[in-house]
Amino acid sequence: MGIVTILDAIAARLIADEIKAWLPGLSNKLLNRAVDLLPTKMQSTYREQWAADIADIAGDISKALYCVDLIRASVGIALDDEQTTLAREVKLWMLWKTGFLKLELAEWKQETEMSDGSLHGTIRMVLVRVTLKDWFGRVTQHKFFPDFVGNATPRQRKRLCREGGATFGAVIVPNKTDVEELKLPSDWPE
Amino acid sequence: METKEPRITGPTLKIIGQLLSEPLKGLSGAEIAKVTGILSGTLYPALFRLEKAGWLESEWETVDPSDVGRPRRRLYHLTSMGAQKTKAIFSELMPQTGRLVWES
Repeated sequence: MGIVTILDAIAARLIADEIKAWLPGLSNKLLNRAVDLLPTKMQSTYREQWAADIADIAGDISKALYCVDLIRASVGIALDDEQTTLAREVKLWMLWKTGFLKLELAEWKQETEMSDGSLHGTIRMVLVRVTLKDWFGRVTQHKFFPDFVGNATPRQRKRLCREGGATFGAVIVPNKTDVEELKLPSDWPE
Repeated sequence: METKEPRITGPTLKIIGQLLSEPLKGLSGAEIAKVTGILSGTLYPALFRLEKAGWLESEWETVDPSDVGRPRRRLYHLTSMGAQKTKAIFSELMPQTGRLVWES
């Protein structure tokens, strides 16, 4: 065993000790960051809850990884909580209909309010639905193309897309045209 | 304010299934994560949605943090409505043995 091997072992030990010393502080910083992303009214509850949950996890690395994912949890909670729908109006127009093609335009107008009352406004979203039938009468495509009118924030757009998607029968990804089909609601006009 | 039914996803089913198996003892987020293997980024938003929909309720552990040397845990329980809904979902998902599946 050469001197290089001994030095390598010492260096590895020192690095491991350094990382071990840093990890608790890193976990705390990540926890604080995650809590800051939450709506103000929830911050104290989640700070205590998450601190207790982190204390129950064995190992500093596992704790740090848990904290990293808490940031994703905060964003998810904030998105779910952020707005209340006050009123909603949906209009659907048939633009074109033949035996093989059906083209519909829908306008989705929603009056919303943020959970802390900081924003109150109306968002409009325009959707187009195209239905194609092949020679055998099979429906081959349902797609929606979202376009926003008004001053919707990215978070509001994402939320609206999720709600609109659930009602309009598709999961709509903001700023993308590809959609994933879902089951249409039973009262959806044919 | 509208009350929506929560989306039933794989992780949601695991969470409510775990809570259903421990109806008397409330479970903390860390305990649910440990048993189900769900990541914290998925777990807490799901718990939040289920609680908002009235399927779950949560309460603080009744201990003094200075006595136990750690913060209080937040414990989740299924509500009676949540238990009913959960049982209905699981009965739909479970194969119905004994059911007539074909007749000539």
